[in-house]
Amino acid sequence: MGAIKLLWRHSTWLDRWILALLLGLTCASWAALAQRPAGTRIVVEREGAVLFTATLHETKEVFLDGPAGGITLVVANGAVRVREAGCRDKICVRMAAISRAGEWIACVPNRLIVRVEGAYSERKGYDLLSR
Amino acid sequence: MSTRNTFLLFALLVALAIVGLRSLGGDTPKEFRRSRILMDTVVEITVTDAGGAPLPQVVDRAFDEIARIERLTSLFREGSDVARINAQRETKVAPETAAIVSLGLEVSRASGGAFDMTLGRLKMLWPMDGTQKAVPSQEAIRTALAGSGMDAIALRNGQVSRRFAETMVDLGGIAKGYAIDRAYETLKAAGVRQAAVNAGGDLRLLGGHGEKPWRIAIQHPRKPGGIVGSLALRDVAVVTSGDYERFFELDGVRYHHLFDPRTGWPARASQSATVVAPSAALADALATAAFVLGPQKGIALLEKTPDAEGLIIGADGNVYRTAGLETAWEQ
Repeated sequence: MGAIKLLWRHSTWLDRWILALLLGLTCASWAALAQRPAGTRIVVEREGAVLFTATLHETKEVFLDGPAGGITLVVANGAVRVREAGCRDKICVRMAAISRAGEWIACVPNRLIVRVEGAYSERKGYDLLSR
Repeated sequence: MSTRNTFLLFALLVALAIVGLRSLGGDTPKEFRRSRILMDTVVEITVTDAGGAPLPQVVDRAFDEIARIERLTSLFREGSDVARINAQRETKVAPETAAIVSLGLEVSRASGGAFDMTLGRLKMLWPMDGTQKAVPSQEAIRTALAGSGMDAIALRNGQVSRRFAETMVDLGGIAKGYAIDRAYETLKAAGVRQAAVNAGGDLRLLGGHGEKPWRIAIQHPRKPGGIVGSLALRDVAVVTSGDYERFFELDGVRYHHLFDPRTGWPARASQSATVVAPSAALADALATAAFVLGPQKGIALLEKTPDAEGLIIGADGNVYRTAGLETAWEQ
């Protein structure tokens, strides 16, 4: 406590403002880091433009419009799948739910790509999947 | 508290703030990734070392190159080289189309016709778009096979000729691989040092992944989301053909899109075939051929092809590998 009192006595108001700012910044960044769910996130794109993002730890259902009637996306239990699609083939509906970084579901008629993103270290031991 | 201690306290706070903010900053800061739907699949380009090349411009150019090859080789696009080939007996084609046909004919000959670019009519006969489950009659299959075979087309001086009026050329088994190669060349020419071009699971790797090789997992053909093992690779192409990508089941039988050109029916000897080769076009064609030939003949084909390696998961579920793949294979 003595050291802090000494520091306070010898510091200027500018020093104190900078110290407070740094303390605030440090606490805020680490608090935000603790809040962020571990794991990966979902990104939905069309022609390179991001239309929707969510973390895999959320529970969500969202409709995304598209030229072939759009799709209904369900995020639940750490995975994402297409529940309904307005297109004729509905191949994306039949695809299994995805949960690992690098996996994707595409609805070609709606020009939509649903991807699971994440760091390579989150990919359970591999970088890319040949299939 | 001394001035030195005050300075150290400030430095510590600054460092903690930086660490926290960097951790919040996203997935992997050095990784640049973009996706497009091209050639009826998702094409993803990942750059891990741009080498000073401008991003995203160079990646967009790589996508444009894939789109250009798609326009040339599409079966249904009016005015494409393939559409023109199928509309007349002799057709002058673009150098890129000629290169694809040339390589395809080589693989066709080397595989004894297991890879076949003249199955257009057969592929249109089988409903593999998920809309219906119907097995064509043997008579319809026999008719669809008329005019097919490795001798049904020829390439001379950039001109593709069809031997029979019934012959319908379909470059679907090789064009995607070639397009991947063109994207790779675009990235490389721009100075990109490390990248991966991934078209629906068909891959071409530029360099390694940082100091390490890329680790490529191979899809398990019967466990969605499962893998059979992985390969540690750099500067190669990896393509897998499997009976699980496009198929329908009827009365307990799986009918898929990889046809045996000799019978016109889905090939039954394999569940999947993965080929590692210097180019994606070669890997693409060889993967189809190896799948059709099955483990014994397929592995023999890969063993005799220079710089090609691979593994085949047979109909029995066992994994068969070329000898040269042993060091890269991790189960």
